[in-house]
Amino acid sequence: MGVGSLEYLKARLRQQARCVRDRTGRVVAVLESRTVCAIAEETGWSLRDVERTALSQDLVPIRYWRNMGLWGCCGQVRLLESRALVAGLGGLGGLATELLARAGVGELVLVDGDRFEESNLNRQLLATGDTVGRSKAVAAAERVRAINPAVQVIPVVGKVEELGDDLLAGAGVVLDCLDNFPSRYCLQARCRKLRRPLVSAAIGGSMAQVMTVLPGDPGIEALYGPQPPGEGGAELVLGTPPATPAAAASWQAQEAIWLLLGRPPALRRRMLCLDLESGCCEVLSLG
Amino acid sequence: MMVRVVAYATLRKYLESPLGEPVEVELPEGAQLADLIRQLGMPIAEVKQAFLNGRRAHLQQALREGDKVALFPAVAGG
Repeated sequence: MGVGSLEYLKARLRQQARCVRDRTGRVVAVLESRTVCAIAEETGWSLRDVERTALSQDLVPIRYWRNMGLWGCCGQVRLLESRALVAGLGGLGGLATELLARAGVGELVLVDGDRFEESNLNRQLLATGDTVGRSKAVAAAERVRAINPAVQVIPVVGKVEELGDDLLAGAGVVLDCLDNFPSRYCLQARCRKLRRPLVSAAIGGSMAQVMTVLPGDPGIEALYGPQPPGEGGAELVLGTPPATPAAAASWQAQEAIWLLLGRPPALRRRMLCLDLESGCCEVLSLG
Repeated sequence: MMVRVVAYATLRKYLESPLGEPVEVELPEGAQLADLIRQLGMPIAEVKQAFLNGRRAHLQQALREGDKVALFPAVAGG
């Protein structure tokens, strides 16, 4: 049995896993990150392949342990084998990327043509004193690698309008984290053409809207008609404060995860509306 | 007839409801959504999304006693 063989990898993982009790008293076989890394180095398999192989034998890399309650080992394997594309890496996209990396989505395509500016510091997770002036896509890729080195990251420094069809077509889900109507309309049209599911969020002041658009479903035009209703909306007046994009991006990331897991998303043909000032929260039908 | 209205973002200021509870508005029988928006003093061009009883609605849609209306401006920030 060669060091690089699948059988050897499986045997090493079983050997190195340790049994612990979870908080309900159930015994779980877990693997620490340093063990996963050492086995990847020893066998020549990628970190992602090592994690997938472990999970397929019910051996849980500890970094995913707290995910098990919602989607188990099978779901975690499915996420590791999935690709999500995040369009826009600002207030929405920065947090969505963070959550998808921590969830263990195996491939992330991160798209933004901009650089961080000081005005991003109030809300954008990836904007720090050190990243102001740097490419958002490059900084996001570094962040993902720091969180979860098993995730393959493809940073794209450019606009969604210029994005190659191959990158969109290869995504299991696309997240619209953009900040203007023309780009949002363009992304939705391209997702429709390539039959990709889209999870879209928009914020203005304390209000957020989130919706999931599968191919053939009503989307942004159900709200505003066939043409963009201008460049921007209420956010031009009410601003983009810290908490609102974080709330919306959390819903977006979870919707994306349900889609990648093959489970029904909560917001298909529906729109979640949240207002963090009045406390209003409702789910409206898009028909 | 009486309808209940909630408004979001830049449209909130036209309703006196700090905690977002629906505001009851008295309208003549046969009134449409557009009539309600005018009566509230909202510039009609600012109302970009309207929902009637949780479903997408057009401004010419007729209202009925007890209807619940949600009004939104355009929103595109990230």
